[in-house]
Amino acid sequence: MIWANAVVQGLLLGGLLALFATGLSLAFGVMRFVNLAHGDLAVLAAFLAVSVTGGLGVNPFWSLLVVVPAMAAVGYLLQRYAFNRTMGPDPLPSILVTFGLSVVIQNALLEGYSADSQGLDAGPIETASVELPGGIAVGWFPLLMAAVAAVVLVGLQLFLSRTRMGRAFRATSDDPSTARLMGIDDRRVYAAVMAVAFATVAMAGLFLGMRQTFGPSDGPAQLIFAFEAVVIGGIGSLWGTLLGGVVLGVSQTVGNQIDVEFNFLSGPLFGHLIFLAALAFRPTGLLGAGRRA
Amino acid sequence: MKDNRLERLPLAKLSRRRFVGGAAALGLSPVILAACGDDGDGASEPSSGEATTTAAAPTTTAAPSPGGSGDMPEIKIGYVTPRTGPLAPFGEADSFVLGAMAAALGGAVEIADRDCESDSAKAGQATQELISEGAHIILAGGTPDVSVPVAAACDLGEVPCVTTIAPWQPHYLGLGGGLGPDFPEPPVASAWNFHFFWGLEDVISNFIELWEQSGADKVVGGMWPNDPDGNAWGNAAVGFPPALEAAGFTVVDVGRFDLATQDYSAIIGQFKEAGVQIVSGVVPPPVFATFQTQALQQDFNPPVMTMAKALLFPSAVSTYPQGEGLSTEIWWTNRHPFASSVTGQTAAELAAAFEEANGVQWTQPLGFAHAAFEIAVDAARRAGAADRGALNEALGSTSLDTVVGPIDFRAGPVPGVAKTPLVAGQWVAGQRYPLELAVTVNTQLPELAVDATIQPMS
Repeated sequence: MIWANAVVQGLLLGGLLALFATGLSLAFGVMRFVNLAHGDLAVLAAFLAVSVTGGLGVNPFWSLLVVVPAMAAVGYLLQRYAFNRTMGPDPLPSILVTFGLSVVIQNALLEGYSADSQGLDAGPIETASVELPGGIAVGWFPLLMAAVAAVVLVGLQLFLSRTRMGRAFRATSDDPSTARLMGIDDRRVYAAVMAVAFATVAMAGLFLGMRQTFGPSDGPAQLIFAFEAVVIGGIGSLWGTLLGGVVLGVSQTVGNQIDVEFNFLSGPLFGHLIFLAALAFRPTGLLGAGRRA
Repeated sequence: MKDNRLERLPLAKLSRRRFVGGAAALGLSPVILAACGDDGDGASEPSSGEATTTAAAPTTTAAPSPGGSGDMPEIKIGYVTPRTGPLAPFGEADSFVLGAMAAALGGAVEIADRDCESDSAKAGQATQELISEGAHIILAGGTPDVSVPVAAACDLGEVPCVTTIAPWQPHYLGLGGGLGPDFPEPPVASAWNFHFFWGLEDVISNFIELWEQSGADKVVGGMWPNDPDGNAWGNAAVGFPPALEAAGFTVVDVGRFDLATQDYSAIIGQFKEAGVQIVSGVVPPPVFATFQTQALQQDFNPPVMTMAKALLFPSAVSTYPQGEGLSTEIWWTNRHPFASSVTGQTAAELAAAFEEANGVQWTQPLGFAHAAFEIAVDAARRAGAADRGALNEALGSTSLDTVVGPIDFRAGPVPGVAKTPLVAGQWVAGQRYPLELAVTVNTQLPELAVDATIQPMS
């Protein structure tokens, strides 16, 4: 039963990790754009939520209404006026620019909010839980997080495959020059993609802030988990990202359980080992194989 | 650039490489960031801002100081503590103490303070800077993560150093001391370091008494993580497990777990299964917040939760899902029957002055930060010269009644360490503040009245 519990808690943790990785997966899938500031953007969103909830005196859930559109706007503008200039066959400029952005965000947060840890208090839902058969207690909040992650990822996948705009995204991704000939402004498409990516990372950041405490320099640690989820799941596949997040979450909680039972290696290490195993034995990711790049 | 052609190979393969390359670049970021972070707080003028704050508390300056400051040599005191970051609550009283000291000592003493941002590496760097700026004596504290690197840097630079707010074993061992059967005569860890605080033996005896008082089943779940504190507290030879078993407790030790973990369900599951009634350990506040949230989510609500480190400060305890009823060790209260050798204030007066100046509830490091200055000032008076060697010698023969109790560096459990009395208690709903510390165990300090007996949380 203890192992079943570990798996259930891991599935829920996986939801948060997948939501985290969504923006990264989307930006890379559509534009081959590696965003090293991804984790810092999540932390930035959480800090913005601290200001919004503090300023308006509302539950952090309401701050989603302000922070998510605000971050989406920032994403649109950044892509339109900064990131687009770095796009091209050479990946280095975009990596350098987002790396710089990561440093800027961390230091700006340090300056503005000090190095103190912050938290978002979501109220009683944080500790409320429901009992599953077999005595496994599941928190409503992790459940909500996992549900939101699934809805966002499934919704995005449907959006990409079913809508006109999604088709434009895919067309631009496949061949920007031909898409331009068809009347698609690729720079606008890229900006729209980045806006969506920023919106998802803002959501992930808020959930992170409600789940645990965070500080200005916590971004890079989050980024590693997001990268791992994307790689394990398979690059360019949102379904894969969901699966990758879940695999990573479960391997961490089951790893913790192994640590507790057998006193053997630590929990987070198991996630990293799974990541390395994925790179070694299934380099295209769980759902990346057979897909046209 | 010339490689562009090559990049048009099958995309799936290439993009993966590019992607992973990005991930590898991540590894660089902490190094570069650490290098960038230092410029911000560089040459800060020592506490000039704070001095004005406490000039408003005239009782501080008016109080006649025993011995006066006339025979004080002009010395420069360096002060390194965590004022921001996860350990920030340990430094919450600093600005007040620095201001009060500047006001009480006048021009005789120059104080240069540094925020180590809860970072061991920065604590060491800041100490080196202070040494090269000519500090005659360095004061530091706030967990072994700060006290050890500062003391190590002082040892290297041959500057006397007074540290506190870290149990003496992790500090002493971290600095290169030796304990146990291999060391019949405990060695000198550093000839330049003087540490005052309590030790593991004190927290163990206090916790045991607290738990026996609670009447809870004697099954203890131990959360001792993989960090300097956790390794010492969970040590199978000198830590909690052997002492608890000797006292008739069953210990459920989850092992030295990784503080980076994001999920505590494995630990919670093990505690539930073993019927743990008492949860104990030494974890930082963010970890305890996540742990308690998940424990409540998973219907684990033991009657006693006694944590070191996480439950010391009202600011932290009030952010937990259930703060009331948590129990902890207590190093100092505003009822302690001691007075300052510099300002003459009693513990109660010192705490009241802090509350008046800062508008927040008193916190335990206040007494110890104040006492560190008392020790430095006393040594300076006896040394009679602004000389590092003479100051160090004077520190070694310290025997002083401070606001946290008598400090005697000649007596110590090991060379260079003096112990202060430790008591224990519980956070209860208060009259002046939402949560106040009630003393429930006072064996080491019978002069301090007990406020209540411990009440179960559930």
